[in-house]
Amino acid sequence: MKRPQIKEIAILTGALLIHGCLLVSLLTHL
Amino acid sequence: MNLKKTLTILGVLALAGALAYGRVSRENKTIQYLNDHFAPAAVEKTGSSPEAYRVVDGGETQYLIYPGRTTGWGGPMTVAPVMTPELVLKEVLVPEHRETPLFFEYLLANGFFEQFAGKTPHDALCVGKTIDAVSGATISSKAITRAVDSGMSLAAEDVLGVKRPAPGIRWHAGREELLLLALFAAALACTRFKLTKAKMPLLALGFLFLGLMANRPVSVSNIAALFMGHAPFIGDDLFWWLLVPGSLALIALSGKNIYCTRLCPFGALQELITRTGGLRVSVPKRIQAALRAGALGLTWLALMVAFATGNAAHAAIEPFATLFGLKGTTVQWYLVSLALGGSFFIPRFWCRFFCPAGVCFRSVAGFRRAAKKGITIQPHMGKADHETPTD
Repeated sequence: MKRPQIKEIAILTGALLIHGCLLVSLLTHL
Repeated sequence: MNLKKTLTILGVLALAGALAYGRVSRENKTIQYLNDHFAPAAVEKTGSSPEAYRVVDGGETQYLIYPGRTTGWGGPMTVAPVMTPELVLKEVLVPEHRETPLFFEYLLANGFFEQFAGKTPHDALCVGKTIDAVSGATISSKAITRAVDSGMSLAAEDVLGVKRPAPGIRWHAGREELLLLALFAAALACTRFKLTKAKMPLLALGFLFLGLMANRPVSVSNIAALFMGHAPFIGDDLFWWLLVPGSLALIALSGKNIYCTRLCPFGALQELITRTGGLRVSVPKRIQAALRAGALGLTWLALMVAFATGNAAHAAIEPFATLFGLKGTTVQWYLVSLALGGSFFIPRFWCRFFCPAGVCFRSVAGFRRAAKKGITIQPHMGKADHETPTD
């Protein structure tokens, strides 16, 4: 299996952070 | 049937279920609210209107109440004008509303409700004439005023036997509406005739007008409100009707996502960042697919929350209002920084991989193209590989 590149890890980390912020924004409405 | 198709059908069914649940679970809290407000006096039904009450204390009618439903900025609200038996307005109560607490307190703090005291059915209540709107809360000011006026009309009919003429719809096609129509026309022309050089000036106009001046970029909460039937009254907010159903209609007719690619103010800012020093890192295909699936899931969740709670404003998770209104929680400011920071490295980072409004627009464009060709395209994919907002 191909090892993930640093670029891929960085993008996924950024994306996870954004998803986390969006989920917190959504759930705080409830 | 493959997994994607099954998931799509299940997702749509769940959304329909949430929409139905949100409608059914709404209970009428007006009578409970009025009982609590006027305790120990009794509140009982009166008059010919299905929802008219009187407050009885010591066997005498103290007040008459004619509640009415209206749609404010956040969604439907019940407004209850309280009148003396001689039909002089004492106060206006709001037993139910879906405005954000901060927004509602803003109306209270600016003395909006106090203006109604002492008004009678002879005073036609109208924002701009007899009632002043609270700046920054004009839509809700108009909606509440209209509900109070219609309650007073019902009371005048019941008590005095006087039928007041229904107020006409005041169409307000001002400068903002005309500017929006001009932007739509320019965006359509830009797409139709492939005027690539006009793209950036158009986005800049979108940024200035929809972002900085009007602070009204399309959010997924607007689209949720449309599905939930919580759109503002057209006479109160013509701009909303031109912007939200207007954008969806143009996309559905043209099959091109002209809002995201040509008008979105947040997209414009990201393009500016990319063009003034962005690194343009390419995103591997498998990560693109994963991120797009994530955006679709998030959009679905935002719509589910809005539908199930019956409050479209709950879906507003995008950072637009934070950035252009300079109001937001700490988490929302983190979101603005991450989205704009990401666009230094990846063009239109937010638009391509997260924006729920963008997912809705792309789905509409995808469905249109699929319907035209008579083939099935997955809603979140569309022709995403070669039509993203950067094209």
